[in-house]
Amino acid sequence: MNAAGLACRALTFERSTGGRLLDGIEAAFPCGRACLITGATGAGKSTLLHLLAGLLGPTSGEVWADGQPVSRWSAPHRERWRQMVGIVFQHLHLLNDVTLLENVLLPCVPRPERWPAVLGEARQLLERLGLGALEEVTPARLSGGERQRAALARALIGQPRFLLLDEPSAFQDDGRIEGVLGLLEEATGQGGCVVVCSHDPRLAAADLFQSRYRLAHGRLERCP
Amino acid sequence: MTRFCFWNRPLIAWAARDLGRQPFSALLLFVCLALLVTLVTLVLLLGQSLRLASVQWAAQAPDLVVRRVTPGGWAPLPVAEALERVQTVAGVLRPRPRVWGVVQGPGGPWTVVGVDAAAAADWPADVPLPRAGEALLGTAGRWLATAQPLFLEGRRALGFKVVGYLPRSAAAALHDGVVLNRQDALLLLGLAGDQATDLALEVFHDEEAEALRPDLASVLPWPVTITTSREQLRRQLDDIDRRTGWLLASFVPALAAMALVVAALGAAGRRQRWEVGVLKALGWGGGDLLRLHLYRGLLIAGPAVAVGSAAAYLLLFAPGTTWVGRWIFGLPGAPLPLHLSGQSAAGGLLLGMLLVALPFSAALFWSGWQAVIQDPAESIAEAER
Repeated sequence: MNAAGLACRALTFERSTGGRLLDGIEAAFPCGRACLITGATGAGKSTLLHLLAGLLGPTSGEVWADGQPVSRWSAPHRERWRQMVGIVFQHLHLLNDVTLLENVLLPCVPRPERWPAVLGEARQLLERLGLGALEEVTPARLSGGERQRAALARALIGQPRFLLLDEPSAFQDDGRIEGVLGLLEEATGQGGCVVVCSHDPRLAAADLFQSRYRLAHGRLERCP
Repeated sequence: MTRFCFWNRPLIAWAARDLGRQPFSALLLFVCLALLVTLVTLVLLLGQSLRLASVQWAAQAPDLVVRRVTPGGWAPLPVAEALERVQTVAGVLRPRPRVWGVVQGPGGPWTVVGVDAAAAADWPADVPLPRAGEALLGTAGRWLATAQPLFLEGRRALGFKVVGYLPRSAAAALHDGVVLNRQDALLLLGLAGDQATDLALEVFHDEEAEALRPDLASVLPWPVTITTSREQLRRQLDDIDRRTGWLLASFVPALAAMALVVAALGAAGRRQRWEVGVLKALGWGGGDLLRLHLYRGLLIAGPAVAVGSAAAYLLLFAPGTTWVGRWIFGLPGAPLPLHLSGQSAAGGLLLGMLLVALPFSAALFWSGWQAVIQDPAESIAEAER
């Protein structure tokens, strides 16, 4: 259990209304690699990402991060763990009444020691994602693709060790996909652990992902 | 390990930005807070300054005042007989008859005081005693032009020439005063030449005043009320405290309502819960959220308390303020000369701040704590549903 990265051990999650969504998941998502999880809508991909991000607690089993069993940690410890996670939600969850730049900077606001560097980093990320001219625009005025890229920039800011992305390419055209994949490749190159949940065939065809899993009927199966 | 510091500049900037996202509710809260601080501080400062004025007044007042009473109210005192009898009481000093009463004048009631050469000992050296047909006005009369005659109506209506004003250092009791020649005052009040309104006495020591009351009452052949300056002061201070207390108590529902609004604005709302959930998912800790909450509150409460305190002070002590005299004491004319010592002012301002800031802080902390203990996944899921 000392491997760097994320791991699921006998991870089970039951809905509050009953019914097992995830059933004894066994998987390892090592650092320096990008992993893709595919599955039908409602298979539990988002729930698995929320469990990996420490937002949800499993019914049984455990999530391990860098050899530490993080799922049962107390709230203050889990908060510290979440500071190492960058996440893109399926529904993006951008603040619609603040600018794009402010949205991207949001994860770094409570950490003044990182502040001077992240302002430049945020602008650079927005530039690379084709949003440089829109940094003062609020998300409400942007297209779905632009909003999604802004959410990706927010996840990448501060170079988190663990990057968890839920359908990050759903609204992207083919031209933008390359840019997104390029950023994820950089993240893995810097030793980050990237886990992407998607049923986008364009991602499934990408060379970036060294590990691929399929989630079906509560079980996570490794694809060849 | 990073050292914890309450003050975090980016977080403070974000708190200010956050307030700008809901300017209406922030402004409303600011106005409510400032208004509450103004009202509470105003009551406290007014109470303090009235207490101080009462103490100063008591210091200038005679130790004992003897007044003749009948079943119909007060009655004029025969001066010669009263003086002769009270002088038989050992310990009584400087018994002197006083002529005063309330008459109608420009803008409302005025307190008329009659003086003659016998009062010269108590009279400021630089102010000449009024002669027949002349009048000196208290602070409240400074708005009256000296060129015009002053018409007063008591038992009789008489006109006087205003020859000057009492110095500003005169006791607050003479704020609405008109000082006349003794004979004019007697005529105006319908008193005979050998009558007075009451008798003022001094004693060697303050403590003696209380002990002399039964002796004085026994030597006078009429029913009298005898008031000591201490008793008068105690009565006034009790009255001020009671009124101040009632006024402050009447603000309790407003303070409670303010606390509830603060709590509701901070913790309720689906939008707030969703945002807290998102921030936690992005790595914000409970402590960060609590600090953000407190910063937002401080950014509103700090200026509101400053503005409210300043407004209360100016409402009471700004030059030209007449409402205290007009509304509370029904006194016409110029501002009532209210003063405060530095200590009293600081105490009043501090207590005013605390009375509003404590429930505000409690509500703020409570709503911040709700954010701290909130489950992020649940609030995000709630927004997605």
